[in-house]
Amino acid sequence: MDHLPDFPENPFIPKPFVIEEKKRESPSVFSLYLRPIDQLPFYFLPGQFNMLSAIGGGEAAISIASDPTNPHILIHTLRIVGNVTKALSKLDKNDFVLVRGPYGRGWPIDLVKRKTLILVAGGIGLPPLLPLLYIAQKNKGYFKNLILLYGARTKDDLLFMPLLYKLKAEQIITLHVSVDRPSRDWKGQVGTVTALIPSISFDNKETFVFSCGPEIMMRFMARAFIQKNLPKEHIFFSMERNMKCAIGICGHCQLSPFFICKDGPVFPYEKIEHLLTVEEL
Amino acid sequence: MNPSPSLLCEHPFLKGMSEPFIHKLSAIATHLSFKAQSYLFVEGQKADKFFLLQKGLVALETYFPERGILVIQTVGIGHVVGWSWICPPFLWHFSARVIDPVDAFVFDATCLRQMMEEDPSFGYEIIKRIIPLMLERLQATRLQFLDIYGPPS
Repeated sequence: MDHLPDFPENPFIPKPFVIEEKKRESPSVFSLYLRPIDQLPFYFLPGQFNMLSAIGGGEAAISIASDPTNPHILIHTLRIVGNVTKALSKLDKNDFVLVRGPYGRGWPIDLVKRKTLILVAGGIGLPPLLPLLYIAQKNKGYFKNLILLYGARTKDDLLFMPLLYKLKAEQIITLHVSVDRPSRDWKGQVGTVTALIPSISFDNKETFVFSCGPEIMMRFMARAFIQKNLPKEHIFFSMERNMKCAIGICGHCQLSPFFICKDGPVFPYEKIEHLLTVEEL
Repeated sequence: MNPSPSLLCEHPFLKGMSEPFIHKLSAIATHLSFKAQSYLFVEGQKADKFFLLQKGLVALETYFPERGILVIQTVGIGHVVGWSWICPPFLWHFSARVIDPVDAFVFDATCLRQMMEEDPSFGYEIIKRIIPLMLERLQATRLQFLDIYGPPS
């Protein structure tokens, strides 16, 4: 049998993880803290995603929200939007979750080393950016400046605020938060996250933008930065589509010539700009 | 006391404006501070001031029967507040409440409008700077209207 080539691991076979902790982040968002049953470290790049499933409940692509320097705990933050996430939301501590991954191209972190990085997150778009915050926390000076612009519908929809305020207090990030629909007790900024952009100043040559959130938000966000003379090639989006195989075979997540799962989910804006206004893509 | 032209021209709204125009504006400007929860102006009243914020945060709000006071947008450092003085009937469309204490250059808008009428090149310079802000505010309002963060239907 030694003449047979080494076959790669079957990419469709998931690995079992156990839920070590489940946290409610907002009325419709929760986080799962997962530990691999085989105890092997789980390495990933910031911006990558996994396919998650509750046994017998189908699979969904979910971005990885954990600290890339701690490969023993995998964190996923999910919003309940369909059958799979609903099934996952019913699981609890010590239940099993099946995980395939990590998949896709992540954020180009080498490109932004010692540069100013502006993260723009909208709603549930924050979790895929969290690994970058952990990198900044663990490796002070990795970024020259790290600015987070974060928008959500209401105060109750804002996620991970204790962590963000802590990072702000430790001067790891500059934080700007805005909500669309303020409650009476909201004392911060009101408006979509794009409205925060005109007020911030940066050096165009040394600044990059990573964004994740609703596609329409990212489109307007990119335009606002370009209006401030930021080069298009300095803007990156994390895209979302309905993914099934996660390895560029099935075509469910196809965006014209690209497969979001394989060629993305992170794309340079200039590569996909022309596709963002095409209907039904 | 009127703010000096050198101080005025540092405000993002006035950056790059010619010296004679800055001097004109300086003559009708005052430098004022506003405490948190005070109002820069109130909906329905005469719109006779124009504010350039240097510091602080202001909420633009309106009264919605049965829902109370609603904040529509906030405006911060380096921004402009209040342009209802440009068009008749020269009444404020919203109220502007101070959230974080404000330092602002405040202009006599009736004088400003008159100066713009008398010197169209000056008037055009002001309008050219206000229109992009109006556009920015309009786009922001449209996005808010779209409820972009809402769960998918």
